[in-house]
Amino acid sequence: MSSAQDYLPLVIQGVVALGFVVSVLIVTHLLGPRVHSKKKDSNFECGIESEGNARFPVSVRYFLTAILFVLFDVEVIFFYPYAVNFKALELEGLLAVILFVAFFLIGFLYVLKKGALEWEK
Amino acid sequence: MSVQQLVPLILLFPLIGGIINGIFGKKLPKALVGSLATLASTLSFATALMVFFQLNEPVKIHLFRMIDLEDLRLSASLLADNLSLWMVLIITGIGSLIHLFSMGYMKHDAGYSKFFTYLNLFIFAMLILVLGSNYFMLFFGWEGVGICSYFLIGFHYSDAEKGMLNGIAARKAFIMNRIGDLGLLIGLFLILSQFGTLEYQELANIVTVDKILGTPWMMFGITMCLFIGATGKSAQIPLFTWLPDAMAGPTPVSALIHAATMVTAGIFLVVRSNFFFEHAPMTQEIMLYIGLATSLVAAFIAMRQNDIKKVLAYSTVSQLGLLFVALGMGAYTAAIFHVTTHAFFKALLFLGSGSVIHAMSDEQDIRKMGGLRKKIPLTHLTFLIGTLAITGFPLLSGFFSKDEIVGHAFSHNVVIYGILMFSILLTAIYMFRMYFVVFFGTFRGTHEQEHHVHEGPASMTLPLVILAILSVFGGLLNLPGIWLKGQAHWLSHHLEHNTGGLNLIEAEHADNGITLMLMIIAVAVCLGALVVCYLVYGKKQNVPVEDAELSGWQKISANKLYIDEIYNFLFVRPTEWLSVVGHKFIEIMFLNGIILGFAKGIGASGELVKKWQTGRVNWYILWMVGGIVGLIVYYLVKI
Amino acid sequence: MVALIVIFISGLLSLFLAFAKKPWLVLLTASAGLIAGGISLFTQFYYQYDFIHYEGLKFDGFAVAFGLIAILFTLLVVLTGYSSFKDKPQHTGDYIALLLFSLTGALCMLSFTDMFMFFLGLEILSIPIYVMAGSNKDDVRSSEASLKYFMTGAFATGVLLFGIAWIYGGTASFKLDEITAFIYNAEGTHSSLIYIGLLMILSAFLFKVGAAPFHFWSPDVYDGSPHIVTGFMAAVVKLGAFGAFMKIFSVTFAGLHDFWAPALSVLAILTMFVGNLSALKQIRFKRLLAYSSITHVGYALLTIIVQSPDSAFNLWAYIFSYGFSTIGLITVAIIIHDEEDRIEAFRGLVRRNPFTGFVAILGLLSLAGVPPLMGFFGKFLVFSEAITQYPWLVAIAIINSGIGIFYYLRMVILVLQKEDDDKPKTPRHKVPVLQMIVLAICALALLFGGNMLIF
Repeated sequence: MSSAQDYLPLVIQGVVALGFVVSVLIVTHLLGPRVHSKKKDSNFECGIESEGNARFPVSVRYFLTAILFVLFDVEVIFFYPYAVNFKALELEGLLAVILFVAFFLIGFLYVLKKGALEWEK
Repeated sequence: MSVQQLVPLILLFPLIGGIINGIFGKKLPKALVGSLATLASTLSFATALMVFFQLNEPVKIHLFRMIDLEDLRLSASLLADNLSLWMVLIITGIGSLIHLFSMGYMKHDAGYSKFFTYLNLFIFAMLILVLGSNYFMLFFGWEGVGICSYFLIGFHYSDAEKGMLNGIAARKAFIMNRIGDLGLLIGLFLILSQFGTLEYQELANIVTVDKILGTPWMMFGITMCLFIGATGKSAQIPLFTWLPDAMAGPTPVSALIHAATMVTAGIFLVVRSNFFFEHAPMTQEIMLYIGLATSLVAAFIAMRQNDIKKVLAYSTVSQLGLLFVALGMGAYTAAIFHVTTHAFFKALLFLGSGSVIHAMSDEQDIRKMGGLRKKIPLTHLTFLIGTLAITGFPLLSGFFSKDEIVGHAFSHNVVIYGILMFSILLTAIYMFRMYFVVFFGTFRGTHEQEHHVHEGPASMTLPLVILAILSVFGGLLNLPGIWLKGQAHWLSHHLEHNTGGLNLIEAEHADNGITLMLMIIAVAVCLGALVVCYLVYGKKQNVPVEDAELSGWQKISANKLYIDEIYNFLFVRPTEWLSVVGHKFIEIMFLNGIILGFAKGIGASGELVKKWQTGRVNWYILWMVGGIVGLIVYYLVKI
Repeated sequence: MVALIVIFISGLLSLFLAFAKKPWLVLLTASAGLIAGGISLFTQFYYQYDFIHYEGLKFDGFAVAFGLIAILFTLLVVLTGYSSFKDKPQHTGDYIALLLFSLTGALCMLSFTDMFMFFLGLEILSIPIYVMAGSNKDDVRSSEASLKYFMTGAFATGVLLFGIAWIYGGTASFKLDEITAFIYNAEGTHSSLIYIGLLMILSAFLFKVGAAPFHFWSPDVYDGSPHIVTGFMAAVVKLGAFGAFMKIFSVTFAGLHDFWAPALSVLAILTMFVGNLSALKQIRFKRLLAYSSITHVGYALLTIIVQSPDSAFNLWAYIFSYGFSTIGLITVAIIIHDEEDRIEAFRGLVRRNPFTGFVAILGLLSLAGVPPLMGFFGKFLVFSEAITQYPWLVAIAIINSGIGIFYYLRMVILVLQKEDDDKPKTPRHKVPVLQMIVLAICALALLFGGNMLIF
C-alpha cells in the first residue's frame, strides 16, 4: 500500500521542473537588455505593402490525407495484440474485431463517398 | 335537458357571444354582430324560462374548484333557486330587449362590435353575480359588471368634444365603486373568518337553523360591510354621485346597466344575505335612514335638472333609495317586486329618452325639445306609460309595487311614511315636469333638428312597445290582498323560501280600510302632481330657465346640492395634496436616490464585468488556472 | 443501451442518406431514430428488459428521465435547424449526424457507472460540438468559436483526466460505487489525493456547465456558433454535463459534501453575478443568451449544493423549463435571421409575426421566472428546496433574479415596441412549418408545463 509520502520525490521533481521553467522565463525577462524607441515599439513593417487578408483559406487536403492515414494506421496497430491472442479470445473476440473493423469500414466508405481522398477535384 | 345542464347554458350563451364578437367582431358585418349578441342574450332568456318552469327546489351546480387550500375551499358553483332565477329572467329579458334596441341606436357608431362585446360580457358577469352559489362568485360577477360598466360609461372616450369628460365620468364611477367593493371584500373576509364558508346555503343553515351567530358587533360589522358594498353599486349616500355622471355612456347602457340591472345588484346582495341582516337590527335601521335620505336628496336634485338622462338618473337613485327603505324594514319580497317593475318602466323611460335623443340628433337638453308629442307619437305614448308607471298612476305596475313599500312604511313608522310620500310626490312632479316640457309646447330646437325628427327603426320601437306592455301589467305579478285573497302576492310566495318568511303587510294590519286609505292618498299625490305640472308646463308652456337665473332652493337643486364640490373639498383635494407631498418629498428626494443609485451601481458593475471578457483564449485559460489554484488554496486552508 | 444503439445507427444512416441529396430523408431518419430511441429508452426502463447488457452503463430512473428530455430537445433542435441544414445539402447529413452522436455522448454521461465511461461520454458529447461550432465555414467568428471551444475544452479535459487519476490514486478504483464505498468507509481520514482529485473534477465540471471563473469560453462560443448549435449547447450539452455533475457529486462524493459544498456555493454566487452583470449591456442576442445561461447555471448549481432526495427532480425540472425557453428563443432568432444577430432586430416582432413574437415573450418571461410560466416553477422548486439549508444563498439568487428581470423585460419591451418610423419597415418573416411546430410545442410547454412540474 502506497501512501502520500511515497510520491514526495515526484512532487519534488515536479516543483523543480516547473520552477526551472518559471525562473528561466523570469530571469531572461529581467536580464535581457531593453531599448525603447518609437520606431522599435511600432509594428514591424518592411518590404512591399501587405495585401489582402492574412486569413486566406489553405488547402487542407494534404492534412486530411495525413490524418486519415494516422487513423487507419492506428487501426492496424490494434490488430497486433489481437493476432497474438487470437486463439485465446475465441469467437467473442472475433466478433468484437469484426465489429471494430466494420466501424472503420463504414468510416472509410464515408470518407470515400465524401471525396476526401480525391486529390484533384 | 335537466336543470343541472340548462343553468350553465344560461351563462354560456352571452360568454360565447362576447368572445366571438370580441375576436371577430371587427371583421363581421354589423348586422351579424348585433344579431349574434341579441341572439345570445335571447337564447339565454329562453333557457332561463325553461329552467323557470322546471325548477321545483333550489339546485346547486358545481362547476369546478377555484381555490382548494386546507382551510379555504372556494368553488365555482351555481345556485338556481327562485330568487336567482327571477333575477336572471329580468336580466336576460330586459337585456335582450336592450340589445335589440341598441342594434338600431348604435347603428352609426364606429365601435359597434366593441359595444356588443361589452354588452354581452356585462350580461355574463351579471348572471354570474346572481347565479353564483357563494359570495366569492358574487364578488367575481360584482367586479365583472363593474369593469363592463367602466368600459361602457367611457365608451366614447375618443370623442373629440366630450371624450375627456366621458373618461372622467367612467373613472369616477370606477373609483366610487371601488370604495364600495372594498367594503364588500372586507365583509366577505369577516364572513369567512367567522363562519369558515362563503356558500349561501351553508351560511343560511348555520345562521337560521343551527343558530350559531357571531357577537352582535360581528354581525353588525359583516352587514355594514355588505351594505357599504351595496351603497357603492346601488348608488346610495354617500357613494351615489357616480350614477348621474355615468349617463355619459350610450343610452342603452344607461337603461340596462344603470337603471334595470347592475344598480340593483346591491338590493340583490342584501336580499341574498337577509339571514345576516335579520340578526343585525342596527344595520337595518341605518339602511332604512340612508335609503330614505337618498330617496329624498335625489328626488330634490332631480327637480331642477334639465338633461333628460340626468333626471332619469336621479330618479333611479331616488327609487333605489326607496328600495333600501324597504330592505331596512325587512320587506324583501316587496323590494324584489319593485326591482322588477322598476326594471320595466325605468328601462322603458331610458329607451324612450334614447329614442327622443335619437330623434333630436343627439340633443339631451329638455329645454331645446318640446312639442314632440305629434312628431314621434309612438315614443310619446310609451314614454307617457313609463312616466305614469313610475309616478304610481293607479293600476299601472309602479302603483302596486310602490304601494307595497309605502304600506310597510306606514305600519313601521308614520313619520317615515310621510317623508317617503313627500319623496314620491317630488318624483311625480319632476317626472311630469320633464314629460310636459319634452312633449308639449312648441319645438325649441334648431331648424335642422326639427327637420330631422323621426321615429327610430322597428328594432328600436319594438322594445319600447314590449316594455310599455310590461310596465302596464307588471303589477299583476304581486297584487295586494285587498281584492284577491287567494291569488294575491304571487311573487312574494314565489320567493318565500329565499327571504326568510313572507312579511306581508296584510299580516300586520288586516284592516283593508287602511290599505285602501293609503292607496287613495297615493293616487291623490300622483294625480295632484299631474294636474299641477300640466297647468305649469303643459298648458302655460313654461320652459325651465337657465341655471344662472335660479335662486333659493332651485339653485341648490340645479347644482346638485353641491355634493360634488363638497366631496372635492373633503376628499379629492387632500388626497391630491398628499400625493404631491409623496411625490416631491418621499419619491424624488428619498426613494429615487436609493433606487436609482442602486440601479446605477449595478449598471457600472456590469460595465466592469464586461471588460473581463477579453476575447483572448490565453486569458481564459489563465482564469481557469486561477480558478483551480484558488480551489487548491481553499483545500489547503480548509484541511 | 438499446436507445444508444438506435440513435447511433440512425446517425450513421443520416450520414449516408445525405449522399442521396434528399435532405427530408435525412430528417425523417433522424427523427424516427430519435423517437425510436426515446421509446426504447422508456420501455426498457418501464418493462425492465435488457437485450444488450454492458456494465459500464446503467439506465436507471435518473438516466431515463434526463435522457428522455435530452432526446426531446435534440429532436426540437433538429426540427428547428432543418431549414438552415437543408441549405447545404452536401452537409445536411453531417450536421444532423453530429448532433445525434453528441446526444449519444450525453446519454453515456447520464448513465455511466465508472469514470472510464464518463470520460468517453464527455468526449463523445464534446467533440462533435467542437466541429459543429465551426460548421459555418464562411464566418470567421464561427471558426474562432470552434477553436476557442476546442482549446479551452482540451485544457478542461486534461484537468478532468488528471483529477480522475488522482481519485484513482486515492481510492484505487474507477468504479463509482467502489469510490463511494471507499469514501464512506474512510470516515474523514482521506488522503489528500482524493481532495485534489475532487477539486480537479469539479473544475472540469464547472468548465463544462459554464460556471465562473471557468465560463469565459461560453459567451464567445455561443456568439460565434451557428444559432442551432448554440441552442443545442444550451439545452442538451448543459443537460448532459449537469446530469453527470449530479451523479458524481450528489452520489459519489456525497460523503465529502461538507468539503466541497462551501466552495461550490461561493462559485455559484460568483457565477450568478458575473452572468447577470455581464448580460446587462449586451447588444447581441446569442451573447445575451450565453450570459443568461451562465446565470441559470448559477441557480441550477443550488440543486447540487443542496443535498435532498428531491434535488435530482428539481434539477430535471429546472433544465426542462430552461431548455424549452432557450430552444423557443433560438427558433425565434433563426426566424428573424439577423446577420449581426442584434437584439435590436427583435423590435416590433409581435407586430410582424404575432405568434412568433408571442413565443419570444413567453420564452423571455419564463427565463425571468414570471408565473405562471414553466420557468417560474423550475425556479420555485429549486429555491424552495434550498431555502431551509442555505437561506443566504437563496436570498442572493433572488436578488439576481431581480437584476435579471431587467434585461429580459427590456427585450420583451423591444418585441412589443413599434419599429422606428424613419427606418424602412422590416418585412414579415417567413416561418417554415417545422419551426412553427417547434414554436407551438415550446409555447404549450411554457404555458402549461409548469403546472405539471409541481404535481
